Amino acid sequence: MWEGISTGIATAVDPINLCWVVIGCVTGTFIGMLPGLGPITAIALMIPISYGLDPAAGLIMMAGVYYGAVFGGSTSSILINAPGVASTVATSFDGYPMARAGQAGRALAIAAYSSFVGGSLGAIALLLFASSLAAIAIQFQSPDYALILVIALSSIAAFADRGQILTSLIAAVIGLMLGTIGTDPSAGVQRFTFGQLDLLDGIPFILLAMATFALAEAFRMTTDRSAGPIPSPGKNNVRLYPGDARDMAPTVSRSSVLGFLIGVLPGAGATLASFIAYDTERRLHKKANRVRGIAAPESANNAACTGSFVPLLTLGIPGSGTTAILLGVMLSYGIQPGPRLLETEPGVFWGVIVSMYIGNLILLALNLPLIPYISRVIYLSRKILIPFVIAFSMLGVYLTTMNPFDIFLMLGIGLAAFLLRSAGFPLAPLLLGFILSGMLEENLRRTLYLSEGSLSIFFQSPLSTTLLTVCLIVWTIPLVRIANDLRRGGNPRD
Amino acid sequence: MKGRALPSILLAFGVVYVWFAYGINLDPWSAAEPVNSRTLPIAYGSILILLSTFLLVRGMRVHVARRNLVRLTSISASIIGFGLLLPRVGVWPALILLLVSCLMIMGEKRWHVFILAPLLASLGGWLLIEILLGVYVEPGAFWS
Repeated sequence: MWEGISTGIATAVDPINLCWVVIGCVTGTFIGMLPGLGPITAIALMIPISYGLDPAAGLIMMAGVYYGAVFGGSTSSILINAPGVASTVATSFDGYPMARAGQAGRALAIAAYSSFVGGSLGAIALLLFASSLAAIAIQFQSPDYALILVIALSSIAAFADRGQILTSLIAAVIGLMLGTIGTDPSAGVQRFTFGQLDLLDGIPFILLAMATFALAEAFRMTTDRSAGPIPSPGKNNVRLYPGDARDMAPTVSRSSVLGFLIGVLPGAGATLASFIAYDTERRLHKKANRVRGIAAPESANNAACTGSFVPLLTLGIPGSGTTAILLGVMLSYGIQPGPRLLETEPGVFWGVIVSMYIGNLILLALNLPLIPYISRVIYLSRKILIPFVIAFSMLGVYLTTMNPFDIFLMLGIGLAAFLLRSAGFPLAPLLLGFILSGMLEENLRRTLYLSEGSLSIFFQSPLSTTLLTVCLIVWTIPLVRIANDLRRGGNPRD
Repeated sequence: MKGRALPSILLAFGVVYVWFAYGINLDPWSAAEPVNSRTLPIAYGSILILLSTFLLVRGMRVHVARRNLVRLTSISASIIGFGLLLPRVGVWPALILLLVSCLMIMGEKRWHVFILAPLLASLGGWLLIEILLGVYVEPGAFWS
């Protein structure tokens, strides 16, 4: 392995390859900041350029684009509450309020450091455990996936804020319901499309994210008569506060490991990792802390990006849409990823892994000096900022789908989200429900098809039984919280 | 204030959703499956009905804030205009008009801001998306 690592270092630090990592990181960051243009689009746009390069340089550049796009997405999430990519939605939950409170630079710095640590720990884990992790990931079967998804959904109620258990659950259920719109992929049956061809593919996630966050927030700011001015940035705005590093260290470590492991699972990906990491931190710390709220999803989504390379490089199975495109790029070079890649193309295998670490280092070096300038966006006058947030969101959705119908759909969802938000409903569970809807149905259906409808399949393997136990524990948490409220003599808030 | 309007809307939404879920067409072979295309939609709708009934009975504490609904309606109308103009004039001219109208609605009075800023933003977007990244965007029926 050490010989392989030294081969990888030699490949990655080659001056030409280093230039391509820099180009990839810069381009990826820039494209990732544009709403609607996430890592998949960024990588797809760079394919023509990669064809002119040798395989190692091309794949190293693509890895830089991938990382850059994920990091770039967090910038628009934090500054204008318009997540460029799904995996940075969770970052906006605490990042945007921090930016509104005059701490945009600090929030971006936390995101930059957390992304760096998450990506770097992921790259080290990939170096050390790639082959053994792939063997574990392939053991997960449909019942296990279904149970993991049920746990993720149940955690919405278990870890909701006090007084928001019921509203969080309702938001999650609405998300699940919206996820059923379109053609049922298992049976090819149309559901809730009302004969409208534009709904056959369902609601695009980026549309829902933009409508519920960017547009609903813009509507709130538009209609708010009592809103005061945004505090002006301080001189040391970009610097972390003394306690920040102490708060971030355990959170980033936990979330990186969690994100990497989730990223290894085919189909799970950076979005799920960021949501679960965010939820986990909220569960572990009763006192809300925005630093942890940014650090957790940012480190998890970067670690998950690295983790998603495990099934790609070692099994030849793409774990996400982005790695599916990367698989296509590899095949176009005549490289067949899989267990034999290590023997046939050691330079490519290890070079890509080492360049991930170098790419992270370059991203941090490039982005930190730019933060004071980027963060000025938030201090624009409301009269200018709101129209641009609306236009930016509309443009992002239109460029993703190229369908004018989606503009009207987005407006409708944005107004509904504004209404729910005004009534105090949290909207993050709605997005989580939407993301998990399709995955839950697919895995549940496959599981019960295999068992011919018998629920005993959930008890047949030690892994399933353990997950089921965790699931039951998570279900009891909200009940215990309500019982505690009653015992203390107060009214249960839910 | 005990709000019951939103829980009632949610309850109605749940009932209508379940109604349509029962109307989903099933193939003869999938109707007998333990989980078919109707199963989870019916389950989700039923859960929403249950939860919104709880909310309706309990009532919601609604904080009534003073909202500028005229501005919201005007911005919504601008967005509808943008959606209608997209297939006719293309995305960049429509974006200019959307930005100009939203800036005016928000009370921007400096002409160089509400004319130049949308023009520069659309020009920048066109250069970046269509020229630099090479993404093809429909030009609109008016230009073709």
